[in-house]
Amino acid sequence: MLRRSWRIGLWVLVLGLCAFGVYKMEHYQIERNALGDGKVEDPAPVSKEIVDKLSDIASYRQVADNGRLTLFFEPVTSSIAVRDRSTGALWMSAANISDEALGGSELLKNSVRAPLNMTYADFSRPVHDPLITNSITLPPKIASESIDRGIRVRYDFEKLGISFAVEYTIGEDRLEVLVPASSIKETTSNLLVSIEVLPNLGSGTDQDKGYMFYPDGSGAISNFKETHPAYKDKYTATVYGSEEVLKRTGQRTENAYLPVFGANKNGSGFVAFVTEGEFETVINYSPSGYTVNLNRVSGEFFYRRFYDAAIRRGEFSQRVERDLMPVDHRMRYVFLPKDQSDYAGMANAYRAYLLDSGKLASRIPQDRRQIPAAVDLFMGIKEDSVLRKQFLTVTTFAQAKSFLEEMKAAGVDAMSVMLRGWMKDGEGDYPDSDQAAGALGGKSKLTDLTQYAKDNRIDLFLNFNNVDAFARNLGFRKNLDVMKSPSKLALEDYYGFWYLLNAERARLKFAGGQGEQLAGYGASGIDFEEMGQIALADFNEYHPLTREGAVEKWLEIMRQAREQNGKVAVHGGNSYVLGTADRLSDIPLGDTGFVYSDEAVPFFQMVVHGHIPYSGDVPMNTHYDARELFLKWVEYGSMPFYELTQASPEKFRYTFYSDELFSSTFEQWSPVLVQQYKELNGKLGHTWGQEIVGHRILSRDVYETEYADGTKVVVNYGSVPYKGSDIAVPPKDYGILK
Amino acid sequence: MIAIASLFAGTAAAYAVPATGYAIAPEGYHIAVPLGYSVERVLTGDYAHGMFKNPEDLFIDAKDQVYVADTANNRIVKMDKFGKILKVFGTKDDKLNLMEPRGIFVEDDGDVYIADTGNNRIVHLSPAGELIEKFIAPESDLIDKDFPFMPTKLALDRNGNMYVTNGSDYHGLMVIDGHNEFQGYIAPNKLKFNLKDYILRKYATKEQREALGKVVPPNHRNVTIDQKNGFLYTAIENTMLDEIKRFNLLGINTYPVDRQYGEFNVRRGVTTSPNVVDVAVDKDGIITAVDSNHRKIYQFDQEGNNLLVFGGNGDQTGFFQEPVSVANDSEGLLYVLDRARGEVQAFRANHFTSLVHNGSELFSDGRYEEALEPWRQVVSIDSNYILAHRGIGKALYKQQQWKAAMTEFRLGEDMGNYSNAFREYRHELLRHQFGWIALAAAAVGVGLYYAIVALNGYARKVLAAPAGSGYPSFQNAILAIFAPREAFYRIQSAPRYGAVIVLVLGILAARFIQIYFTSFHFNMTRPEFADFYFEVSQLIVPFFLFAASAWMITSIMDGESKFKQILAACAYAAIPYIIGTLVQTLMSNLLTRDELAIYDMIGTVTYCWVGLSLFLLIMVMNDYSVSKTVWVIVLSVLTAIALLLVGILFYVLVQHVIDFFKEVFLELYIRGF
Repeated sequence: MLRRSWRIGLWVLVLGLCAFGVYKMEHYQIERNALGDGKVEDPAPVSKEIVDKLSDIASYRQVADNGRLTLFFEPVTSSIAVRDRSTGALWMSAANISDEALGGSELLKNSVRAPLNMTYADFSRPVHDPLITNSITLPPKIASESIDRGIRVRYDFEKLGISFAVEYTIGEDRLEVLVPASSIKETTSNLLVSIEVLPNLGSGTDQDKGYMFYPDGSGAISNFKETHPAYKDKYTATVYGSEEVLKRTGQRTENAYLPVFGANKNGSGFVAFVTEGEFETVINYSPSGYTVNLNRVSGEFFYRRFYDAAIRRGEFSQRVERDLMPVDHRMRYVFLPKDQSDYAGMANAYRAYLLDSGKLASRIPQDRRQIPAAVDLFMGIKEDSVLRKQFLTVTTFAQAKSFLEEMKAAGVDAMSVMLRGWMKDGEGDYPDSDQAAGALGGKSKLTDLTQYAKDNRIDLFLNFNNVDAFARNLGFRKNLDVMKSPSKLALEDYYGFWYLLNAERARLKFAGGQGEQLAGYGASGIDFEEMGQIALADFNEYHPLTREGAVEKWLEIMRQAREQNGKVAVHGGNSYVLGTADRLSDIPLGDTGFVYSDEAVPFFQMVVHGHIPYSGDVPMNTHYDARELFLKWVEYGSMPFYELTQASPEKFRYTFYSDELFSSTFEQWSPVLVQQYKELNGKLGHTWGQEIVGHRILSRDVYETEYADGTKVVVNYGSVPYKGSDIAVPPKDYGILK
Repeated sequence: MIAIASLFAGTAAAYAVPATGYAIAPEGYHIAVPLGYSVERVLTGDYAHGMFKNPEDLFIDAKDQVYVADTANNRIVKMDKFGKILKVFGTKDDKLNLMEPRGIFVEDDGDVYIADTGNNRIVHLSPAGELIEKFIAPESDLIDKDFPFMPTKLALDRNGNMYVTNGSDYHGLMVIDGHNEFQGYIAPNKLKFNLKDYILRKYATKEQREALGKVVPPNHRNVTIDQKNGFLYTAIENTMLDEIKRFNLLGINTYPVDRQYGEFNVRRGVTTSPNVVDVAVDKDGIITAVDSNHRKIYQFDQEGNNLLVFGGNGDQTGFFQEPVSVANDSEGLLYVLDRARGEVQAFRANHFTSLVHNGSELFSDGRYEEALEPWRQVVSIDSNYILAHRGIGKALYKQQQWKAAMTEFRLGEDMGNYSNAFREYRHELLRHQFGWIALAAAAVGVGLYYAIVALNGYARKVLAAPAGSGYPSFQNAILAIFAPREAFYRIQSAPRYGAVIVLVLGILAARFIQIYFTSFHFNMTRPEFADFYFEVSQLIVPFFLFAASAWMITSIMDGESKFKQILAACAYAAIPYIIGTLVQTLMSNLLTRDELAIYDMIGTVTYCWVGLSLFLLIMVMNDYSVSKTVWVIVLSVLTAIALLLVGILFYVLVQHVIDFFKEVFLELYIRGF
C-alpha cells in the first residue's frame, strides 16, 4: 500500500510540476527596463536658447592653451572648441548653420550641434535594434575635471544606465580625444554599442568652400556644393573593411585602408586619424543632402557588434553582443598650416605620424631610380571534367624563367614577379598547398627559376592563400579550423562552400613546417592573399580572436615568412601591413565611386610612395582602357602591372579564372610591357624612391602629382588639351616639370 | 548549360572583384569582358531650377539636347548635353499646367510632344514652349472602355502619326493621327498558351475562375522609333520572353522571338526576374535595353545576340538604383535616367565596346571579311568573346580556310558552322587524298566484314558445342549478338555476377567514351560540363530498376526466371548499346550535321536492338507467348516507374529526417556552449 501511495504522490508531484511549468510559460514576462515602461521620464532636451548660443565662443570657457592652440569648453552641453592661432580658424563641435538651411527633424537638428552621438541597444528585447541618440536630445549628467593640457568629461546617461568618460587634450598642433574603456559603466539592460565623438567638428555648409576627405579606396573627396540631390545613403566604412566578406552581394566597395579622414573648410583644414582602437572604428561621412544639408565627417568608436543569431535553420534575428570589447579609443586631430590644408597636406601629416610611430616601414632605398615592372605569372589551375579534375598547365616554371630572361634581355632590369597557381592544386583551391606542382616542373624547376631571379636581382614572390578555405578541403576538423560569427556558427558563404581559416590555426600550421617548406623553394618572399584586405573578429571556441588579434596572428605569419625568405608581400593595403610588407598588391587606383564623391585622390599612394612598392588591382591586359590605366600609373606612382601566361587564356576558359583573365599571353603583351617600362623609367625612374608630397586637381580631368625633389607630373585624362601657366599637356597624355 | 552557370556562380571569387562587365553567351552563361562603358558625366538639375524628382522619361533630340520628363515636379526640363538647363516647360509662368508628365518626344525640328499623363492628354509645343495643340482621348468604338486615355510614352513617325502606350492597355500601341483621330491599335502582344493555366481554368468553378482574375497579355512599357529604317522598338514589361520587339510599320515583330533578352536568376537565394522598361537604338542598329529589376543595361545586335551587360544595383557612379529610360546621342554616348536618384548618367563606350559594335555592325551587314579585323582585335582583348570567334570563323570560312575556321567555330561554340566548315574540310581532304582514303576505307570495310563473318562462324561453332565448355561468359556475349535466344537459354542455366559487373562497367565506359570523343558538332554533353553522378545514374538506375521490376512481374505471372538470371540476361542485352554508342561516337567524327539523319539512325537502331533483346529475354527465359511478353514488359515498365516514385518519396522523407536531426544538433550546439 505504501508503494501505491508513493506512486500517487509521485504522479501528483510530476503533474504539479508540469502545471507549474505551463503556468510559468504562460505568464512569462520579458524583463523590461525603465525605458520600455516609461517609468522614468525622459530628461528634457537642452533648451533652445543654449543650443542656439553654441556657435558663439562667448559661452565657452578656456581650459587649456599651448601658444598655438586654445581649447574651449562649454559646461552645459560639454561642447568643445579649438582655436588655432596660426591659421585663425575656430573649430567647434557644434555646427554653425541655421535651422532653415539645415532642414530635417528635431533629433537631427540637435544631432548636428551635439558633441557626441551614441548608439545603444536594449538587450532585454527580443530583437536588438540600434537606438541612436545624442547628448542634446537626451542630455546626460555631465561632470568635468581638469587634466593635464585638457579636460576630462564624464557623461552619465542616467535614464539608460550608461556612463563613460571622454578626455580632450591638446598637443603642439593637435587635439587628442580618448575614450578609456575602463570608464564605461552599464547598469541596466541597455548596452552601449558605439560612441561617435565630435561628429560635427569641421562640418561644412553648402555655402562654405572646401571639401571632406574620407579613406574610400585610394581616398575620396566630396566638395561642399549647393547643387546636390537628396542622397539615400551616407559613407560609413568599417576601418579595414566590412566583416561581411562572404555574404557580400552585388556592389563592389573598396576598403577604408587607413583609419583617417579630414576636412578642408574655407582655407584651413585638419586631418584626423585613429591611433588606438582603429580595429573597432567606423569612419562616417554624411554628405549634404543626406537627411540634412550639412557635410559632416567623423570617427565612430564601436564596443559591440550586431550579428544575426540563428533562431532556427534559415531564420535569423538581429542580436547585439553581450560582452563589451574593452578597447581604448584614441583619435588625433592634427590642425594643418594654411599651405598644407589640402588632402596632400593631410597625407603628409599622416605619413609623418606613421613613420614616427614605426607603423610604416621604409623598404625602398632613397637612391633607387628604377620603377620595377609588377608581373604576375599565372601558372596552373584545375579544371572540372566529368571523370576527373585535370590540372591545366598554363605556364611552366621553365617558361617563366625564359620570360624573365627575355624581359631582362629587352632591358627590363627591375621586376617584381609573383607566381600564381604554382602549387599542386593550382589556383583557387583553398587553402593553398605548399607543394610545387609536378606538372609545372616540380621543385627542381621552381628552385631553378628562383635561383635565376635571385642571381639577377629580380624579386620573385610565391602567391599563397592560407586565409580562404573550401569546405571540401577542410575535412572533419572543419569546426575547429574556421572562423565563426558571434552566433557560434561558422562564417560561410550562401552555398556553404567557402570558409575562412582561423588565424591561429593557420599560424600554427605555418610555424609547424609549412613556412619552412615554402622557404625551401628559395623565392625572394611569399605573397599572402587577403591578409591586407580583410579583418574579422573570430568567435572560434578554441582560438577566439578579436579583429586585432586575428590580424596580429597574420602579421606573425608574415614576419616569420619574412625572416625565412627575406621579403614578404601582401594583397591589400590595410594600414597594419605597412610596417611589415615589402610589396603591396591590389591597391586600388581610385575610389569606390559613390554618388556623393566628387574626386578620387591618391591619398594612400601619397602615404606609401617611396616607402613600399605597390601595384594596382587590375592588370594592363584586362583593363578596359589601356591608355587610361597607363595615365593612372603615372598619376598614382604605381608600378606597371601585368598578369601574363604562356598558354592562351582559351585554355582555362571553363574555369572560374576566365572571369579574371581573358587576354594574357606573354607573346602578345611583352612588347607592350617593355615599351611601357622603358617609357615610365625614362621619364619617372628617379621618382621611385621619393615621397609624393603634393597632389592637385588643376582642372576637370587634369591632375598634378608632385614629388619630394620638386618633379611635377601633370596628367590629362580629358579629350581636350590642357594649357597651364608653365606646361601644356595634349589630351590623354602627361607632361613632366622638373 | 545549367551546369556551367552554376560552375561559374559557385567558385567566382567572393571579394575584390574588379569592376568588369559580362556578355551573355547564346547558351546563356556569362563571359567576363572588360567594363563596357565608363561614366563620362552626370546630369542633375541645378540649384537654381531645383533637382529632379522621380523623373520617368528621357529624350535626346537631333541636336543632342537632352529632355527629361521631371514627373513629380510636373515639368519637362531641356538641357544641353553637358547638363546646363536651357528651358523648363511647365513652370508657373507658362500656364501649361502639366500634371505628372511621363513621356516625351521631340521632332527633328524641335517641336515637343509631352505625354501629360495626369491630365489625360498629349501636349504639342513649339521649340519656344508655346502651346500648339492638345490631343485628348480619341473617340472610337474600337477603344476598350476599360482603359481610359492615359498616355505614358509616345513616338512619332515622319507622317505625324503618334504611337502611344496607354497606361496598362494590353491591346497594343494606340495610333493617333495629326487630327486627333484614332487609327487603331498596332503591335498587340499575344498571350502564350499555358498548359497549367488551361487545366486550372478548364476544371475550375465559375467563382474560382473569377478569383483567378483575368489573364491579360503583357503590355508595352515603352516605345522608340527608328525613323531611318521605319522600325518601332518596344520594351515589354513583366514577361520572361521576348522583352524586346521590333515592329515594322505593318505591326509585325521582326526581332528574333522565343528568346530571353532579360535575365532570370536565382543567386544566393534571391530571385530576380527581368523587367525591361526601355529600349534605345543607335545609328548602327545596336539596341540598348534597360532593366529596372536587375538595374542593368543590356546591349544587343540586330540578330538579338547579347553583346554586353553592365551596371547593377548600387549607390556608386556607373551603377543604378532605378534606371527607367535610356537614349543615345549622335556622338555615341549613352544616357541613362535613374528615377530614384533623379539623375542622368552619360556613358562613353570603352575601346572594347567600340570594337564589338564595329564588328557586329559589319557582321550584320554580311561583310564578314571586313569584320575580321575588329573581331581579331576583340579576341586579342578578350579571347573568350564568343561572337568574335564566330565572326572570325565566318570570315575564314569565306576565305576557304576550313581548318582555321573550324578552330574558331569551336571556340565560338557554334556547332552548325563548325559542321559546315568540317564538311568543306572533309571535302577538301577527300579531293586531295582520295586514293589513300579510299584505300583505308576499303581496308576497314573488308576488315569489318571478315571480322563479322569470323565472329559469326565462331558463334555457329559455339552453338554446336555443348553449353558450359570453353569460356561461357565470352561465348554468351558473342551469342547475344548472333543468336540471342540461345544466349539467354545458356545464361539462364548458368548466370554469373562477374559478367554483370563487367558489362555494367562496359556500359559506363561506352558512355564516357561517347562524352569524351564525340566530335564537337554532335556533342551535346561535353566533358567540361557533364555531371558524373547524373551520367552514371541515368544509365545504372533504369538498368537495375527494369531488372528488378521484370523479375517481380514475371514471378507473379507464372515466370520461370530468378532475379540473378534476369539481371545477368539484362546485362547481356545491353551489349548492343555498347556497340551502338561506340559506332555512333566514331561516326560523329566523320559525319556533318547535314547527315544528322544517319547519326540519329545509328542511335535508333541501337535502341531497337536493345529493346528486341529485352523482349527476347523475357520471352525465352519465361516461356511466354508473344502477347504475354508484351503485356509483361508493359507492366514491368509501369512497375519500374512506381518503384522510382516510391524511391524518390523515401529519399525526400529521409532528407527531412536528416534535416531535423541536423537542426536539433545545431540548436544544442548553439545553446550548449
